[in-house]
Amino acid sequence: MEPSDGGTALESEASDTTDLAVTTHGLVRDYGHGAGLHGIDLVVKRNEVYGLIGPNGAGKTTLLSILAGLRRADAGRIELNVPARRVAMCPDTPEFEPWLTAAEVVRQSRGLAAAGGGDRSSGGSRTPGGDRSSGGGRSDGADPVGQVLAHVGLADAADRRTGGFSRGMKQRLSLAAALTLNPELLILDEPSGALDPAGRAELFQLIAQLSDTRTVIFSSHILADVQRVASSVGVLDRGQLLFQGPTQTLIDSYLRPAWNVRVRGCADALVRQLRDLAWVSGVKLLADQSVEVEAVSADIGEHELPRALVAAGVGLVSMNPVDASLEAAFLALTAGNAGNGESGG
Amino acid sequence: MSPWRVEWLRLVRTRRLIALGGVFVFFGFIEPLGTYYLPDLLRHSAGGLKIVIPRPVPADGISSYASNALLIGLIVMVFVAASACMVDARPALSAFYRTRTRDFWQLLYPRAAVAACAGVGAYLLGLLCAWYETGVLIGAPGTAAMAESAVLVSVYLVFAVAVTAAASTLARSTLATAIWSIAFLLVISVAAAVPQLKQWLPAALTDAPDALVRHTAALHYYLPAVAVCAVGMIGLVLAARWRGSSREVS
Repeated sequence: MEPSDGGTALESEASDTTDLAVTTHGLVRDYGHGAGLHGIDLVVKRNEVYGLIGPNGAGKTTLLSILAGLRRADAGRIELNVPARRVAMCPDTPEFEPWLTAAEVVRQSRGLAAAGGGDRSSGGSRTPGGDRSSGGGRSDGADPVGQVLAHVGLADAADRRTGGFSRGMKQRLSLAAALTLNPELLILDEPSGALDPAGRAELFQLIAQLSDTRTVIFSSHILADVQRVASSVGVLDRGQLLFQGPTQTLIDSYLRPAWNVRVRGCADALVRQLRDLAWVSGVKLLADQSVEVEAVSADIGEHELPRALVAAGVGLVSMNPVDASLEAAFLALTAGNAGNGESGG
Repeated sequence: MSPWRVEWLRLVRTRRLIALGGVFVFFGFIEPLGTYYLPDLLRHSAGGLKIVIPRPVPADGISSYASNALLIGLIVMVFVAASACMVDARPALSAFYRTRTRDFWQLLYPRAAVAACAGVGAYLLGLLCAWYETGVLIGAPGTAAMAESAVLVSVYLVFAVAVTAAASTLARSTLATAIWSIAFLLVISVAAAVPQLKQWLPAALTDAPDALVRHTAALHYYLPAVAVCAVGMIGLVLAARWRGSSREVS
């Protein structure tokens, strides 16, 4: 299935570059044997949450590392419309000096940025909740380090050494160490990979809050998380961006409309009759004797399916649209790309 | 928290400072003692054999300390420096550091400087112990010679840290960094056996405690080696800065 214009519309809509936080043009990083990135044109608007999804080895970490300045591209161009010192990245498996406490790691983060000439910690920090405080010390009586640790749920562990932290705690601490720098662009590589369900919910609530004041790019293979929080999504597979645009556009474009129909009477006969109709692109009888009907378009299905039920002479118990999930859209989108060989990166 | 405080905490909380100081202080106490009692030890172990050994002089105690400190102590110091300077040993930790600094120098400078200060401080502490014990047991070595040798060996130790810092931007692990550094220092020590080269190589400085305290050489003899050390340190640091800046986090 071809990508809809919704995916490319983002680029034309966002022609005013002041609205863009990051754009890349033909970004290439070739690891050989097909692995790496092959001509990525990324467009990320300011103050949006951009979800990067793709299977293992698609190139997500490579792309995020290049954006963060940790790796170089072989070719292509990056336009970063935020100062480089206002970019913060949280890797998927963060590590810290194990002999430092959580509070010391946050202070270290601020100290490094200050020593590096960055004005983010000295110029003030905005906590995710929106309150601004002096970065260097206390302006309103509150400790900015304690505040940011409390915000990621690590207040109780502030004085514990990070050597004993779980991976989930390290991910929270990584976020705290990044947020304390008041970044304009926050890059998160698989930020919820080690979090429990409650932790994931808290994290994505936090990310949603962050989008009010800053741009967030995050990668994940938990597509429900991306759907929950990302306003735009990029689908990366084998180093190529297969889709880029609003999350809902991806879902709408790559999923055929489907309904779950429960009837009183013989469902088998209904299935046989529906199979003969030209507008039905798929039909199957489910284990609970309900029928899932897929139409070539939502408009045709909405008009023709009731007529078909009447014609079949079955009693209608219920008829519900099948939930369109990003996961299903992702699978539909990448299915056509499958079987083209293995890739890494 | 400043990078300098982090480096201090690295030394203290990982107990590397104790290990470093402990080695030098141990040799500072044990070597003059061994030198003083060596004739007695040999007499007791010789059986019926008569062994004639000249009475130890102050230079023996100091020389004995310096030779062991600059072998075992140097290896410990190189490992301590390597573990500090190896910014990229763990990629995720490297990402933490590199995304917060604009210049690799900001990461390397405090690490190398604190490691060098700790190494020099540990050597000098051990030297004070050796000086005290030599003075008590054998006789006081000359103060000027001791001060001169302390300065020259300190220069050599700082050079060794610069070598380690440069190696840390080439190797991928702390162990590899330490091995490359020690191998390089060993090579220049071997090269110093060539008479035409000896005066010019940094390894010449390791002979300074013995020669200066025995008055077999003067301070100006070591100036070419000090100059080579200074030029070498600048070159190594610049190479480390360039190499570290151009390195990717993988």
